[in-house]
Amino acid sequence: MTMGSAFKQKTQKTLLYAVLTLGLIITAFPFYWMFVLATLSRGEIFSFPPKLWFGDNLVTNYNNLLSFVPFFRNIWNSIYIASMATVTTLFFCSLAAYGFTFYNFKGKEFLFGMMLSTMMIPGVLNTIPWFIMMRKFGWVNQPRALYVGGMASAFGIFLMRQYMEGAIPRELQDAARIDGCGEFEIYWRVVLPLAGPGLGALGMVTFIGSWNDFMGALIIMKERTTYTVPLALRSLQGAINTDYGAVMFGTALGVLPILIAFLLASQQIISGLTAGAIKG
Amino acid sequence: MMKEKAVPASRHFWRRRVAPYVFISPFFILFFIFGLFPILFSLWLSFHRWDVISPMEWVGLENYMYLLKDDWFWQSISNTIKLGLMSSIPQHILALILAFILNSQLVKFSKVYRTAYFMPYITSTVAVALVFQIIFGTRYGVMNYLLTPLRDYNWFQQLLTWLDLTFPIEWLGRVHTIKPTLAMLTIWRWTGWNMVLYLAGLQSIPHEIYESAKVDGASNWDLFWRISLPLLRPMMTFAVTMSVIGSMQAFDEPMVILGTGGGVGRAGKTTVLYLYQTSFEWMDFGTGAAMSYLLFFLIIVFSVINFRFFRRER
Amino acid sequence: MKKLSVFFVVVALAIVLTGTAFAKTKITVGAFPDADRAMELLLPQFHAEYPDIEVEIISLGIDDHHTSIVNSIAAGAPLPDVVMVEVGWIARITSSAGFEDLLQPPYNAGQYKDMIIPFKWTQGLTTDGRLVAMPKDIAPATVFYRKDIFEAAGLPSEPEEVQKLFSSWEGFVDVARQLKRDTDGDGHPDHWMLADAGEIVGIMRRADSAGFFDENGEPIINRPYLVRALTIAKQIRDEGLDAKIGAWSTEWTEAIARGTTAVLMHGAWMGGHLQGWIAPDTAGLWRAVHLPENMFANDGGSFLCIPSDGKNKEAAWEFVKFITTRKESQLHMFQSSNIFPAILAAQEDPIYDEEVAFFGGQQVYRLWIEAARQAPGAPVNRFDAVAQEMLDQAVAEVLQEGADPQTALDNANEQVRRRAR
Repeated sequence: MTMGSAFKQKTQKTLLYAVLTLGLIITAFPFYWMFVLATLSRGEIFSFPPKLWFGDNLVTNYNNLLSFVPFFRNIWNSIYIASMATVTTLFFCSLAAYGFTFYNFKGKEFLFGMMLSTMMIPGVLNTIPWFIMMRKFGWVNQPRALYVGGMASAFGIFLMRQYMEGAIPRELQDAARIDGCGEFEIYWRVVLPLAGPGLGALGMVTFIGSWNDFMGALIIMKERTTYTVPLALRSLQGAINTDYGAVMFGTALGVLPILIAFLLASQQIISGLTAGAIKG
Repeated sequence: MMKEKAVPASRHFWRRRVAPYVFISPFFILFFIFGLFPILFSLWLSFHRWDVISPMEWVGLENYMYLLKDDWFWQSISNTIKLGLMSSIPQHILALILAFILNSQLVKFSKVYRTAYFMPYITSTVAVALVFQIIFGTRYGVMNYLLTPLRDYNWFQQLLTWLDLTFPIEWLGRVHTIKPTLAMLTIWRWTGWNMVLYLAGLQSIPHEIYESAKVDGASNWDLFWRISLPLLRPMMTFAVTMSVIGSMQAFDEPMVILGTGGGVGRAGKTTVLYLYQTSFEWMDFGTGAAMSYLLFFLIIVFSVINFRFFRRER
Repeated sequence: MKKLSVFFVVVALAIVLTGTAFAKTKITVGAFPDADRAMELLLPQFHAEYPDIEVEIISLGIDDHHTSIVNSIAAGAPLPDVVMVEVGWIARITSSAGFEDLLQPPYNAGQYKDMIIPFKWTQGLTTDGRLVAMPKDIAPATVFYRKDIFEAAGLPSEPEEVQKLFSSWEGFVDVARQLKRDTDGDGHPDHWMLADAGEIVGIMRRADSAGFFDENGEPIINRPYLVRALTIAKQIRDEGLDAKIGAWSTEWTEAIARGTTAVLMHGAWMGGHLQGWIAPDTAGLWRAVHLPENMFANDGGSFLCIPSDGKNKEAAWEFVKFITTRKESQLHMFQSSNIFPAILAAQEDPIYDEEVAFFGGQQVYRLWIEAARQAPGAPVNRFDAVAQEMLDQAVAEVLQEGADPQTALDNANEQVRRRAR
């Protein structure tokens, strides 16, 4: 390697890091700032130039938040609902994706297309009929109302099918059959362990989607103790008066479980990768 | 294991025929219970006039006829498409490149970058709205603050005149600046999300393939174009389809930044924003329902085009 | 024996206690901040007076609260026993059946009519003369201005003098010209009168006795009054007399705190915001005067309604009366949360003579009460939300893109006519 090319490579690397780091600042700054805002008073939050370092209003914000809403209860509600949604979605979606990827059957393309088209209907107006149904089922104020309907989402099945198509060779199915595996066993023992990264991505998106679901919670949850995090935070918003300090504190506190879920999911992606590498 | 082998071949065959239907059935069962009624209800609603309080009144196709002649509706469709294109294309190019770089062993700390790039997706919209105001404010905004030293130069004045702007720039106050500004927000929010999908897809490609290609003297560009992209096609089909569906239903970003009005000259009013306003603010649920059906057909059309595009290249 | 008698006493007590527990009527009240807290603070008193009624207040964000009410009505689901409704939503939510006519027995709310500020009473009435919403609070609007900035610009600054300057909107524009200044000498103005010229249209509309529609339901958005409002706003914008900052943004609060803009036109509640968090450091520098050209307006306020399908309508009515017709309750909410009373007797209370330090000792409460009593009650219409949107669009087109006021309002009027089907 000549001096010139080594130099060129080095500048390229430096440039790459510079660009990546700039991107990092742009994407991570508002996230960081959310935590800063949690420690500021309302006046400080709305000041310019913005305060970039932590203030001393944390305790006040905390006390205000807890005096308005039972926030830890709300966090627990959200964790419960998001976890149930994630676990059930991962199972039903990967199972259906397995069905769509590894089998040829009559009406496959039609059923798949039908499933996809259900995603294309704007959901804005569904709130009213959905509420009517939930009342008929007696599911008002019930957490299950917020995850049972979406357990086998078209989005998740589509994602897992596309993942499996690229990542899991179909020959594995034949090999497993020769070994005497039943159809469900192939899914459970062979396909699922190889679907790690796909499951990680789907799990993350599902968890966050469920965590941030606002409209559903607004329709279903009618008592402060059953509110989820976004509902509790928005219940602090008045016509002309909102305690933004308390809202931002709750926002920061509420994002921690998501962050943990994200880190867990990244771990899952890594382990899925190594598992795939060993077997592949 | 022994038991399984004792099963006669015909039963194996039968199981293989039925198994896939069983596996995919949860979706259809759940859809039948939870999804069908709302869709039929909306369809029924779209033939009625209903303000929620008074009883429904049958109007036949009137809502549809009304919308087809409504210039706001067509403007919202055009807004939605333009915004979708302006935000989706850069977003996917960026996400692909980032995923490729972070998946290759080109850089250290890729985990840190990956986490950071995903963060916009989990940052609360309230915080995003505040940051956004601070960056794009007219008098006290970071962007205009950075541009302030330039304001007395002639060439800068000419540039602004050419762009039909005046200093300080009203980023969200002019018809022709609203869409690019909104697109920036959308790109910021969703690039990391797509990157995660592409990363998941890339991680299924064994590193040995890259290694052996490198031995054959392939450059990083070659690796990207010849190996990663073709193998990522299924994931790209997914990510792009979701972008098409998602941007046709764009709502959150314009709502947070502009409110239901959609800004000056309705430049940021997407169809779903208009739909929401018509239904929940103007209490005209019938027209809202008709609008959601018209949008539904448009999304189908775009999705089919999108599928064709990705199929043909296979 | 002793044990036995104790046992009987306990049993008897238990029966009495559970008996009263059963007799207790529980009612729910759907509300939003800050009124939820203001009412919550009044609950101990209410429960002491009405031991048989137990009140639970359910709170949501203001938009969410109304969306949730709309959804419940649409799905035929039960509403809270008492529903609080903001003035911007009143016509949409109560325009039809579903809420009790409080003028009928057993409510007979007609007896309270003379207690309540007239324009507010009118707003609670439907077009066919039913009273479906009991007025709870109001928000008289005035001009808030910075005395020190007026002085620095060489303008008269005492309230009486400023009121004279504002004897017409033309005078108002003149003041705007003098408040536009370049204090750091870099050749670019850095101080203005208003944050956003659009505020003028907003406040002038609220100061008119006509609404968006005439008595035949025809839209009248392009009437000369609003054309004039828009023309004044356009003049301010075209001459560069406003800061072009949208209300309630971060830079808006910053501009007020720094004194970049010197004048605000809002409801009485604005005083609480300035003092509480927007500009606490400017205490003593603010003054208030009536709107230009002797206009009076109302900027906000809410009502309490009783849904017809409620199970405990009588208990609900007791609570509504307690909140809306009692002088003490209304004063309490004013003192705890700055919610301005809708009943005249409450407004007579000596607490409104206070010389408010934040306003340099000015008796601003008196000023607000004067404004409240002269504010016109514009009729409401169920298409008001449509009309408001069209007006906002017209204002934006005129101010931002230089459209002609008359043309923009003619278009807006056409749009409303088309949509108000």
